[in-house]
Amino acid sequence: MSTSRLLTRLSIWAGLWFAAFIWAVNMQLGQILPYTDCGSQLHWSAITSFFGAALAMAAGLVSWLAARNATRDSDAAQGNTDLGRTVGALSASIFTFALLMQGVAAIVLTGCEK
Amino acid sequence: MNGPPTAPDTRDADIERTRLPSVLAETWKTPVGFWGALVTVDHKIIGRRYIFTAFVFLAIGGVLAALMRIQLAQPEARLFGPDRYNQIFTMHGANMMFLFAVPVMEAVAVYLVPLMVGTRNIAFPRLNAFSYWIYLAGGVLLWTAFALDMGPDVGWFAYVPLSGPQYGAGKRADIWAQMITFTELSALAVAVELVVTIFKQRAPGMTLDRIPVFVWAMLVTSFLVIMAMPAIMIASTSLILDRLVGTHFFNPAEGGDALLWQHLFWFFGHPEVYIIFLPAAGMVSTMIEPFARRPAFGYLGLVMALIATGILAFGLWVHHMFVAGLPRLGDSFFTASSMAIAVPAGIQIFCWLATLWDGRPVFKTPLLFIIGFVVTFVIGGLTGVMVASVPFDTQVHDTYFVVAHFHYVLIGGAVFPLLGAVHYWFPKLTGRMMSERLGQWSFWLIIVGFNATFFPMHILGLEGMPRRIYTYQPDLPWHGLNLFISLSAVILIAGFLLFFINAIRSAHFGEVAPDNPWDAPTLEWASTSPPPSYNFAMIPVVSSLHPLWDDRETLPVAAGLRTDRRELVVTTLAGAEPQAREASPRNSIWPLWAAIATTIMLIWSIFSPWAVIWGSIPVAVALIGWFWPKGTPEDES
Repeated sequence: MSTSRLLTRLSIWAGLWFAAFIWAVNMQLGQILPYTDCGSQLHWSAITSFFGAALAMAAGLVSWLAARNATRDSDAAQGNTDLGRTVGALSASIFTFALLMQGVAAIVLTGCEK
Repeated sequence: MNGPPTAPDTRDADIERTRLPSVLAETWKTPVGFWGALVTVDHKIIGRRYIFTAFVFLAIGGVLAALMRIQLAQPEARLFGPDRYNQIFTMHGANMMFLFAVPVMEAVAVYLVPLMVGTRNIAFPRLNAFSYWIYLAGGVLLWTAFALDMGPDVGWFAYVPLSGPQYGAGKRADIWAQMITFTELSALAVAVELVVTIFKQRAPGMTLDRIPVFVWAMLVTSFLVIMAMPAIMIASTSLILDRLVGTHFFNPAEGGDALLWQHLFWFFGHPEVYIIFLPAAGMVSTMIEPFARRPAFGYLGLVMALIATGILAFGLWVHHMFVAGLPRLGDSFFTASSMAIAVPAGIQIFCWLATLWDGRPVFKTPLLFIIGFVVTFVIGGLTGVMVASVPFDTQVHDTYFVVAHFHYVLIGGAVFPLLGAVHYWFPKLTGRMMSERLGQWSFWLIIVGFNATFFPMHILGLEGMPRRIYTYQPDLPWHGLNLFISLSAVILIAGFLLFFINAIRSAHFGEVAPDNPWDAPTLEWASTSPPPSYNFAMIPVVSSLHPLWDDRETLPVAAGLRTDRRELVVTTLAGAEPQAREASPRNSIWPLWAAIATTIMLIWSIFSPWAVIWGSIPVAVALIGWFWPKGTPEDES
């Protein structure tokens, strides 16, 4: 598989794999950063969550747009591209939603609560 | 072993169509009798065996539930003392989760997935045979221990330090931990087989957007198994090491960490819920089409929901640990994910409702169970959102509210669809229809009995009744509801009894089923009921999501496979374009020998660490025998 074709496929599915990756990273940060947040004026957990939400949303957009430019030399390729685009964009929305809720929670709490 | 029935390298296209089935039957046959039962690698025989065994475990696990309800019907009942009661609720939970719920879903997939993707056998069929024997050995180990008063008594999640060397005397916790090894080994083997079957053995033309939803569900589930189960195997092995050789993984006094157990367990334990639920959701999406008489609404949304749920399932585990003292901000991240997972679940529910709304529903038993599932699972999902909230969970943690919640999710979300699936695919397995009248009776008894049994448990939980208590005092306000629950359980049990009677009776005397009794669109119905040993005389070629609806008269087929040896078509991952012809292994006794050797090693290792050293020798011998060339045509591949 050529590099450009691989990149196109990764882009079409970006909303799935990249948004999920961002969400997974933020889950881990959510276990690490409360200790920093507690001793700091900045809500680092909130900042990373909202930044992650923006990235996840962008990944969904990449999925949607990349599918437009993908070559569709057969019915099979078109079907797979449509699947990737829809699954990518919709799942990016769900991960964005989860990240936004995590950001809101990080604003409400200080990080010191046990 | 018989020689090949045709000359070497004979292709299916070279043989007359009328003669082809008998030639393939000879190549793919399982010997009759006891020997055949031991050596078979036919996914249908192993799948049926798996399903039957899992339902036996369901029945005996149900007997334990009935015993618990008898005990709790009255205050200060003395049917059991606390020790036996601890064993009973532990056995009930461990049995239902590890020996019934997960295996039965994989068992259905072992039977159906190769048929649904249009191939002749599952990938790694000998591993499939091995996985069944190992599963059976794990179940026999657990129940034999219980019969010998050595049954685990530490709850189905076996928290340390209760299960550790300090408080868990004897071998009870070890039995639990090693049963985990057996069942997870078996589950991992099946998961690998399913992933390879779905990725590489799909019929030509079955592109990603033409894969049946149940097959998608099993693909996601298999990845969940592969990623989640190692955590519990590490945990249970570490527990045995703590107990047997004095390591201190979970001992805080020596630098270990008791909470590590909870993290490892629930990193597996929460995805486990989706390992059970996602196959059920896939069954519903597949079964609903013939009964709504239209394609499932929102195929892409359903697939997305399965994948997103599978990923999010790994970010929920701490919601089982909200009272463990972790930082509240960290907890809130898990609350957010726990609530976010309701979105893909909701998408699926709305897709099913839209399918029924826009269809012309035929209210046969499978559809009744689907409707019962939707209603029950929504209630369970709503209480799930409630317990995802830290303040609420803190109040109801370890009460009957949680018991009610997870029974709504697991029975409503998995057992109801499974019962519908049994009615739906029964003709494919047996060639006979289940009785519709008995099916409808069992549905109503089960749905009424279930709700009358488990809904009041929410109230009991809110009234403060804790889980796992073997009795309670008469002055507590729980007696009336407990009596009502126990009486309601009689209705539920009657429903299940009727279901079992219907299944056994129909298998022998049921109306003979046509090949496609429901006019269903997926490939498993393109074969006879029950299917022949080779599944399809010619491999089907797929050009749509609903091949039997869109190519109703003549399903296109591919030719070119050898008939003198067991051969499959290997296709590309995304486009399902034919890539190679691959041999499929013949019957073999070696998976059974390997399973026996592994069983001896694992059970022995509960008592002595040297078992791992000496026990690995027969395992190695069995594996060498397994892979040694047998001089069959398949060796050439």
